[in-house]
Amino acid sequence: MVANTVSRRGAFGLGAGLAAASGARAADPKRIIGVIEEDPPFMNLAISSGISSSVASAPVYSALTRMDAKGDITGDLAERWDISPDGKTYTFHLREGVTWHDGRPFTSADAQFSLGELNSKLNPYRGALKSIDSIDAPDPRTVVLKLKNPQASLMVSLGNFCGAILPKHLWEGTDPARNPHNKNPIGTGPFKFVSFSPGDRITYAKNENYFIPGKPAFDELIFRIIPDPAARMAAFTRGEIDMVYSSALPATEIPRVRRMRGVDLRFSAVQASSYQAYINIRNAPFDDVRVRRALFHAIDRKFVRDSVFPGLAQEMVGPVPPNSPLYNRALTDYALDPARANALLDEAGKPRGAGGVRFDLRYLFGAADLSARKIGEVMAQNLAAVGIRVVLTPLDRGTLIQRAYVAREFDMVITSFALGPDPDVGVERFYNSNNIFPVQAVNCSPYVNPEVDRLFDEQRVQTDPARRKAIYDRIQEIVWRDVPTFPFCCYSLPGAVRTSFATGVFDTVDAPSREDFAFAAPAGR
Amino acid sequence: MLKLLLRRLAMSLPLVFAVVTLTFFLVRLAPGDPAAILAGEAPSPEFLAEIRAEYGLDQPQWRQFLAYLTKAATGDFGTSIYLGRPVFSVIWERFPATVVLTIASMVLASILGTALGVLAARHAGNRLDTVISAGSLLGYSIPGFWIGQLLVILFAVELDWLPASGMTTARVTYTGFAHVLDVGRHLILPAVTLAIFLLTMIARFTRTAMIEALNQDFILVATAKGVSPRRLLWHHAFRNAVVTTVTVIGLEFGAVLSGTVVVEIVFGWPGLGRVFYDAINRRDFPLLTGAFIFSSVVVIAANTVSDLVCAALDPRIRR
Repeated sequence: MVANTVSRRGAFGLGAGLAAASGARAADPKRIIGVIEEDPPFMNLAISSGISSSVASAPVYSALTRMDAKGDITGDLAERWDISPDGKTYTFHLREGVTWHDGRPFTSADAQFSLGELNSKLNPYRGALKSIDSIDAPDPRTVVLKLKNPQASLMVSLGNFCGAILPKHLWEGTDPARNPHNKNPIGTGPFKFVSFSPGDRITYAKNENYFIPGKPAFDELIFRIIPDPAARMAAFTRGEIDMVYSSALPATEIPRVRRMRGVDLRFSAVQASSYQAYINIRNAPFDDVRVRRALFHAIDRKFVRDSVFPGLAQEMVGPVPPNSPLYNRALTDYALDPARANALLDEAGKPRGAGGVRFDLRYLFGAADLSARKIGEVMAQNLAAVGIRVVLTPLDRGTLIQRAYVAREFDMVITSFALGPDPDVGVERFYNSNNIFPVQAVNCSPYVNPEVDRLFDEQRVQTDPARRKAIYDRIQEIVWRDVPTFPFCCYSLPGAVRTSFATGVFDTVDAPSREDFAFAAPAGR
Repeated sequence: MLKLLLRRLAMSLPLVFAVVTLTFFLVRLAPGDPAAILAGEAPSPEFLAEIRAEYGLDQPQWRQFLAYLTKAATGDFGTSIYLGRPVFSVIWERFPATVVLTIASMVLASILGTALGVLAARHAGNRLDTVISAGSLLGYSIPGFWIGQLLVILFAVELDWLPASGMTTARVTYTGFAHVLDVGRHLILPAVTLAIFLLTMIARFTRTAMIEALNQDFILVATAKGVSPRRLLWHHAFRNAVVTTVTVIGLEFGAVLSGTVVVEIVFGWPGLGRVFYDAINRRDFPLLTGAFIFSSVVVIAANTVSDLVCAALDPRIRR
């Protein structure tokens, strides 16, 4: 009897425990947990391109079109579109029945307003929209873009960097920098913004009315905010986080992540990035192209690729990444040849002085950027051999922007840049002289070549791909001859995802896109 | 006691003013433009100018300072440039996490540090004392971020006993007591990391104060009167030594608070320490100045409390 009571109690206890455990699981929504490096200042893709802003906004917004994992343009808010034979009129036919997260209907007026008033005026990549002459909304389901001239890269820009569609009813007549919806975004994307707990997490809930039926597969999306790379990777290793997109995954951790069980590395098929330094061509002696070319002959870029990015980086010859259809394969690389470098430096009138040193090179980089530091260390050794003393200058972000981009107190400053998907978006910004401003990620060398400017304008209006490629080939030849920048290597860094938890597409571009969030699904589906 | 409190309060006012003035100008001495950091890659010049005008960054510094003082006097400490929200609401929402972390580590450090200090004093000169003293010296010298990372690798990644970062589990939403337990689990590693420095300080000072107290004449008298060793240690010696311990805790409160900067980064703890770190990196002048003022007030308050506690414990201080 006693035994019976005990066993019943035991059974009850166990049963209750199981019920509690399984009950908790069943009641818990299907969550996918990602990570970002810092609190996003804005959640608005139309005015800020900072990585944390881009990532935090990506699940919320849609655009007229989007780029899929293969790099093809497909419909997003637009169901289909027609391009006139002269390439100057784009007519987008919008989906029926799309609503904003606040329940109001989405119409062509929203697209007209977002492209015309926000993206064309404030988007950091607004240059890619400058061929647009007028945007009309003849009826609620149709948007017509009239261009001043044909633009080959327009669809890529609209689908990626410059095309986020925001609700007109919440933005019209407001100051975009102060609009409260910068922190509380309302979009038409797969997830609705729920809350932002600074320093901790951003929470999103599934958009039940998302226009792609059955998507997204997760009920909730959470971005944890973990600035320290070691803490981020510890949390990922423990399974506290399901996905880390490429810029949050330190390159130095990739070999370890590759060995982790149940984790997949995902490489983008369409994006390419480069570790690239601006050379300050207004400063002597770097105003002399022979000195710049000497750097190319002296620095062992293969060693940089193999030691800093083992197995991840490709060589980069010229300003356009090799995976681009517009890449000029005829360019020849500067051979590693210290003797040639020495000869060029002598020829440029830079003889060795005391201790064999010709001059100093101030190399500026972000103090937290371990790859840039390693590149600098390799470079310092290589250049010491030809009499150039590299002054490694790690700086915090604020000081780096001030010294390098505002005050231009540098000889070389290095960062990683996204170069795609189209060079009009990712590459032209570094070499077109209409893009010289005291800010980062523009033409900061600053390089002025009227012929290059003219060729960029010429290619933009080409509707014949072969003709456009020919002009781009010429641009690459000239830039590679003048070398105002120093591309160390080109790479496609992977994002990591826990396959035991989620399957789907990640990292179609550098940061997660709508594609990732809309089509990610719990494992086993 | 009231007089002591009023005197301390009167002394803190000029101190706070000095902190406001110093931090206002010091943080602006560092190179870097908050507008450029806020605007991200390749911002339009108009957008940059708009941000600068909005936060008064286009004005001369003395004018910015006067405007700041005028507003601060009414309790308005400005708006964070990067986050675009009132400085005090940012600080206020992150402060509780830091309070939880700081108090947990101070309680841990006080109890363990005192116990180790008393133990070392009681066994002064023998092996146990050497071990405790050497351990304290080691704990005092090891940088917090390093210890923190080792603890994460061992207890979170390798042994899988405790979470690696954050204050709550993201996977599941807990409520009620389960939520408290969840925070507790997340608190263990950061609190231990933060406690180590203070713990070793307390142990060292308590040991010295206890040895000094144990050598006093009244201990000899008490021993002669046949007081038990335990009562002698805790009732007679410790009550005299505890003033030193409380003073150390009060004095080191500022060090513990600044230690949260590193610990909160290593453990992804969403507190005020990370607000400091981020504000420095982003040149978020209003937030940085506000956070400095706020934490100096907190440190001044903690020192005042420690003085009052000492006065309560030791009548000689009250005079």
